[in-house]
Amino acid sequence: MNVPGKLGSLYRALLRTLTAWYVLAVMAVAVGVAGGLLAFMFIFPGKPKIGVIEIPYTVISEDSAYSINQFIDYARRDDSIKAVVIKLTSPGGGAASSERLYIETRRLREEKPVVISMDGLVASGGYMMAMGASYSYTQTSSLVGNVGVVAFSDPLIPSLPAENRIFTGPYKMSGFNRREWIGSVDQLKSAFAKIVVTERAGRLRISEDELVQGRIYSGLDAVRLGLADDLGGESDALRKAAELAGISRYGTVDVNLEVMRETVQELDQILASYGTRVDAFDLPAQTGARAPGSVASNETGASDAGGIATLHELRDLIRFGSLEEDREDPLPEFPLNIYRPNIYFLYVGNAP
Amino acid sequence: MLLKLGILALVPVFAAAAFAGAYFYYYEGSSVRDAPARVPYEEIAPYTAPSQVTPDSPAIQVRNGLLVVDALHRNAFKETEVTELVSKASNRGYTVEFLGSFVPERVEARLAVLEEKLRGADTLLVILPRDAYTEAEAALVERFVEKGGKLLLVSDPSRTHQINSLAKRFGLNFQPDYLYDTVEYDQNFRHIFVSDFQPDALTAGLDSILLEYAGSVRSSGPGLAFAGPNTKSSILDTEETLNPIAWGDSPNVLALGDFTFMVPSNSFVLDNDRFISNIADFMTDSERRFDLGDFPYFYESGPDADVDILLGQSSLYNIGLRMRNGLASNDIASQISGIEDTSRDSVFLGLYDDVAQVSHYLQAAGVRIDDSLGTPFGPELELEGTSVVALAQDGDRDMLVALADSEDTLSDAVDSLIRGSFRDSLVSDYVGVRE
Repeated sequence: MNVPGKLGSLYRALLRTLTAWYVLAVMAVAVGVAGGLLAFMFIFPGKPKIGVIEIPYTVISEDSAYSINQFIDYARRDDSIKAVVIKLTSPGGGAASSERLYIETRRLREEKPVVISMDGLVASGGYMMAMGASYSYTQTSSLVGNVGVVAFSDPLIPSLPAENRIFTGPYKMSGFNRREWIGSVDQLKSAFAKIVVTERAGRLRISEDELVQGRIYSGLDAVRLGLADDLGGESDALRKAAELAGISRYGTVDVNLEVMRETVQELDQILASYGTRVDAFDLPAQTGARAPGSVASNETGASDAGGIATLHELRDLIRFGSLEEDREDPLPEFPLNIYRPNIYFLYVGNAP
Repeated sequence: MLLKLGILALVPVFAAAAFAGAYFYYYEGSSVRDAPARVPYEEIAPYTAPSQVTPDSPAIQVRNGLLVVDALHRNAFKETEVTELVSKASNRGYTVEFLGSFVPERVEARLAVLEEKLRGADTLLVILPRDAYTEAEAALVERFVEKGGKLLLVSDPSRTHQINSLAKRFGLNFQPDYLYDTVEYDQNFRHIFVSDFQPDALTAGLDSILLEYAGSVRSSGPGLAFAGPNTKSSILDTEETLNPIAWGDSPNVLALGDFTFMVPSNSFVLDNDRFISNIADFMTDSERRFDLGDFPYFYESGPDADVDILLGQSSLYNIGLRMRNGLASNDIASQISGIEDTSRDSVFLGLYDDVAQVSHYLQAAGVRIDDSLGTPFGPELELEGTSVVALAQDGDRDMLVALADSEDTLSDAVDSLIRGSFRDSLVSDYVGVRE
């Protein structure tokens, strides 16, 4: 471009300056740095995070296991979450539900480090879940262990079936005889012990025989005997999770809150097609701050007054359209009560 | 040109540097990827039941007797649970009678029933009483054992009981524990094997029995079965051998710290069935001694029983009939006979004038009748208005003698014998006097 006069001189001087090698070099550096940072932000979106799952005192049931599994699943799906800390207090609960949580925690750990911070009581099925983690902290005041099974059986002489019951095999009604059932329960105990011995390999300092005595240990002894890795609290767990994930500067994600938010959004989408919203169901505005299990629900399944909706309540809302218990008997014509097997990984404490 | 290329090369170099800088700012190391070890579930052995039925001993000795099963103290078992043991006792000829109906009873009523039934019983079976035995009841049972009655005390730590209220009388104490073995057990650590036995008729033929929920028994008598070296007590921190089965301070008292082993299907495991048979042999081998207070149970009951009623005078026939009816109400057959058969159980009813016919029986009982009435531990009495009853036992034969100063007095004495009120007039185990 040929610009006459004084203005032209200035333009030429500027062009010379901008095309000078040192200016181009600075610009190249700036573009390079910006591009590098953009690429980093694209590949590693945002600050790395540690997902925090909080499980305050929770008896593991099918409902609470469902909710906890939602948290675990979220932590697995969210790529920004590089490690997970689970704050756990649980006396255990149903055998199948407890084992489900162990399996899912273990699966999560295959993808990202999981550190358990045992608070007050982590016993039986709760301890089984903790076995799925990469590392575990306990406090001196914690109570840890109680490996074993609690189950119920028929009385020594069960009542005989009535004449109007037609069944096709001697065990069709009961599923087992008493002795076999007790044997099965013992197998479950052995499986529990195998899980602990395998997961704590090289760290456990008591024998399997000692383990299945079902003792519950103080946090101090739990570490001493290798049932947990170290003494510490949530901050120690976060630091350990960061170390295992190889991250130094990180944010934390309240997984409970995120899952609840996600669930409410999904629910809103579903309800929108019916011309309503979650708000119409009188769910409290603040959601997710409370974990499942500390579920304060009454017998009808509805939230207690002033309580906070929980995931399984929301699930019920999706499945049944209401928080009220209006589930119909699935087999109204069937004349007998239907029982589920009563088998638990549960610390029940000293019965009064 | 070279300079421009060099400047251009700065872009990727600084981009890489910025990327690396940002990376190391947030990620100081590599993430630890965990590959959890596989849990070796296949190492868990499948359950195999140690079922092994030992058939009952074919050489069953049949004896007559009465086995009384306590159900007066809200006992914590069902009749169906003792079928095995009770049927074996029944097969051995014993009559089995349940006292009470497992519901709460008044203490006074309990005592009266127990007192009445123990008179005729040979063996008492007490399983898991939830109501404690009173001192009076325990004293009755103690007296029963002193007279040769057999007592089987059965407890179980998985059910509540007050059995020590009775057991303590016999030097026994059922401990508030349960036994367990975490090394060698059947299905559950509380299901223990017992293979160490003291040689005894009760343990004859036993190699190993299975006790499902056993507690230990402390006894002043000898132990009969001993828990294995790995068996421990839930509360006793002791190195001493634990006894789930033991004798009391009398060979007539046996204590079992487990009830469930005799309940089907546990009763058919290992040598449990044989052990139950041995217990049935123990229960039906009573050497029970009866005295006058046990009237009329010192006579054998049942279809083979037969008692002669001898009359001192024919005018006493109606009184003899009342005695016959009274015996019949207790399932004891009798007939009025004119001649004494010294091989048969008998009752003699007479007046003091007939004393010569039974003087040797009275003498044996320490009773003297002449101008006055003398008894072993009582004062001398005028004959008028009195009656005396004496029981003389010679081997298996029981001879009851009832004499009075008049027919009316004798009639009253027979009535009081049948009603049981005569026991208030006993001056010794074998003599009673009414005024």
